[in-house]
Amino acid sequence: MSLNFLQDLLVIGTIREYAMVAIGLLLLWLAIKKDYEPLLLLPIGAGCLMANFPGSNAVGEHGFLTLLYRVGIETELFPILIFIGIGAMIDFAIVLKQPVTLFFGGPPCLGIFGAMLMALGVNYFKPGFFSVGEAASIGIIGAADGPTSIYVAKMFATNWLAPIAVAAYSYMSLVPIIQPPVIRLLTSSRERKIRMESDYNAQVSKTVMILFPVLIIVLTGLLLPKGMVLVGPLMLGNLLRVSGCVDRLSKSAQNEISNVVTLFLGLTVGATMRADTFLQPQTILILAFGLIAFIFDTAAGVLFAKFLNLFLRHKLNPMIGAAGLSAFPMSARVVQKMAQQEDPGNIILMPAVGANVAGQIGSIVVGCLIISLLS
Amino acid sequence: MNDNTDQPSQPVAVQGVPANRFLKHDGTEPGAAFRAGLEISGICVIGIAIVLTIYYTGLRLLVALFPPKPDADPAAHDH
Repeated sequence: MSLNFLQDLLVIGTIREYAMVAIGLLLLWLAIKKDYEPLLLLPIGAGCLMANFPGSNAVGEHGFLTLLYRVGIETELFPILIFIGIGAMIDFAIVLKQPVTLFFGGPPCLGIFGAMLMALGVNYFKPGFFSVGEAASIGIIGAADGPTSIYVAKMFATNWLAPIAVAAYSYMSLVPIIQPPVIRLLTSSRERKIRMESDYNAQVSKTVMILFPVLIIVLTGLLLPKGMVLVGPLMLGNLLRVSGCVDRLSKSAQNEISNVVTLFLGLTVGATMRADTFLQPQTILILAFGLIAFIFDTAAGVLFAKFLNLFLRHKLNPMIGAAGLSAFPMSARVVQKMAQQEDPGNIILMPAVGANVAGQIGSIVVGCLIISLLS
Repeated sequence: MNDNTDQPSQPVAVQGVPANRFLKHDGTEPGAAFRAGLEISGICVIGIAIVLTIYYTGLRLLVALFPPKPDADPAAHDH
């Protein structure tokens, strides 16, 4: 009996393809065993696995992963839908109670530009390694905001979408490991013990809660119309939440829409992790610069708070500056934990959460600015 | 109707070269690309400061215009 049927069934792949299969398995392990952003890393790992087996028909002209890519990534629809879900989940009340908290969302974005300039610096050693659009997309990993990273990368660095998305989500899950050493390096024990006296029990009227997302949409329309694609869905989601008249839609945005799109987004990003594009020297650098962006973000936030302390009578605990990272709510938790390590009775969670929410706004504003400048 | 929907994400001038003055830097001229990066960074840093200040001003205005009514607005508390 001929063994030809085996040849028909088996497609022997390259070492690079099997290396990608191994990376897919690694992502699954990180998600399941280590609990690193499992909501995203599990579908990304599964997508990577299905797409890289030689002869897999999950990808290709009629593959379902290719179809999902066309529908959700090429059209940039998935990240936008995710923003509706995020908006419906975020409670902006804390920022409304202490509007000045909004400014903590700005400085941590400086890491974006540090990483972008480092990526462009590589061109001095190897001209043409990263274009400006690619460098900006790499920098945006520092926004610590997965959907923004994916959206910007899709626009300006399609080839590097997969490593950028993987870096963005991986480092977000590693915030408890990345941030503490940087914070400790830049603050003294005395500074970390500072107790903050702020009135986070102040009431805000429901009218303000409802008008806030509307106001941000209007201001974005006037100031950054090209950023509406990011800000609009986020604020729409929040409007669903606070309006009080569409509870079903709000719950759907927080649960069904968010969950389904997260699954599809993860699968699709995983499917873009193909050996020919992922196993490149650029990928290593993208992962490295992404990490540097997170470190710079943290440092910039802490230094900003320390700068403000030069002028304030009631000093801020400079660690809340680090919570201005968009990684919600991990950054706030990390900062609170560190405060309690220094002084068990020190509760800075509320201002830290405020800075964290402001970070969501800050990261999207930077995304809007980059889109406006480059498109 | 908003004409933005008709715009491609990366405007293309001729022969696949992006028309955007920043995007046209492909990194083959490192100095020019780096300067473009510096310019983008500068504009964005100033831009984010301005945008957040405007958001802040608008928010303060909202809070001042619509103060909470005593005992009539339970939505004011965290959700």
